[in-house]
Amino acid sequence: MWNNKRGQQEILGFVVIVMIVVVIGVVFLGINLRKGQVSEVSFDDAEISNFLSASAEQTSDCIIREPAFGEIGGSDGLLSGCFEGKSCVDGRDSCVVLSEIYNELMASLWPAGSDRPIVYTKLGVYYVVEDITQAKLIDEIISGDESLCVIKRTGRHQQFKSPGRIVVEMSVCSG
Amino acid sequence: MVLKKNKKSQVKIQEMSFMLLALVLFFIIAGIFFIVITNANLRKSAESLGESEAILTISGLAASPELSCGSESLCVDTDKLIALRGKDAFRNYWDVDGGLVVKKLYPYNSEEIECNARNYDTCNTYTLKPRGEGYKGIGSYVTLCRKEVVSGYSYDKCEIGRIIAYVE
Repeated sequence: MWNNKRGQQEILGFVVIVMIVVVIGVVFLGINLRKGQVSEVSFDDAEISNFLSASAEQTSDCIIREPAFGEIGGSDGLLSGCFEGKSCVDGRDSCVVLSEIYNELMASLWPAGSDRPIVYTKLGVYYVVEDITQAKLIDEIISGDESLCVIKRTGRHQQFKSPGRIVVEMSVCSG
Repeated sequence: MVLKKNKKSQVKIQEMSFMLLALVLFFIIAGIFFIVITNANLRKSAESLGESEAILTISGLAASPELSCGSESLCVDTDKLIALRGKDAFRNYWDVDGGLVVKKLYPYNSEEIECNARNYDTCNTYTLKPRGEGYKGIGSYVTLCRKEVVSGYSYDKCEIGRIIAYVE
């Protein structure tokens, strides 16, 4: 009888330990699953920042003010021209030209899709004052499916434009 | 009678402990699965960070006086590329084992055309050091600029390109 009681107490102790382990496991998994993206890692990437800087130094066929020669960055460039609502000397809207250039660049140099190494890309051009986005200069260029994102790399190119900055921001996800 | 009851409750406790044991096993397997996935992603991100570091090193090549336009750090002067390509004296100057190539990426041309002084406008590849066998290419985006003259004005015509170093 005494032996039976002792055995039952041991089993009860074991059950309590198991219950504690289960509760800890459930809490741990719950916290991780609530994040929604269990395994997404995000960091700034030199390649993307270099791409944005290099693309801002390109020459386009849209000249905002002669004798400038259609640069994208710089004080007389497309980014500034778009922010100030200026047109190219041939009459085209500078923001439309800017959007076309970035669309073509993204499609040819950063193609995204579920069957590719890059599953999602997003590029946006914003006007930011003290870290608060004031305006989107062009519609965000989005390609692929963000839900497939495992590793997210980001980069930005900034150009001072008083009182804030014009920021070209890009995210690239691999699956 | 008492003995029969005792035996019944012991069986019940045994059943419950088996069930809990199975539950614990399930969580252990789920935990291992989770750790394996996290570990794989960590490895991937470590590789990406390593590549990012290599890209920074290659960006340094673009900023060297032999290649740079002078104005911007990521700007490569294609006039200098034309002058340097094929020069034996410079072949071992670049601190890369497997080769060094600069490519114009946009506007895109699938055909690879090596640049020289005659096909400057239509070419897309500048080979500073020929690529060796079995080397892996690591690249960084740069701007490729050259001097052009329009209506008496001299300006920098810039296009987007990539400097690729081939390493082991």
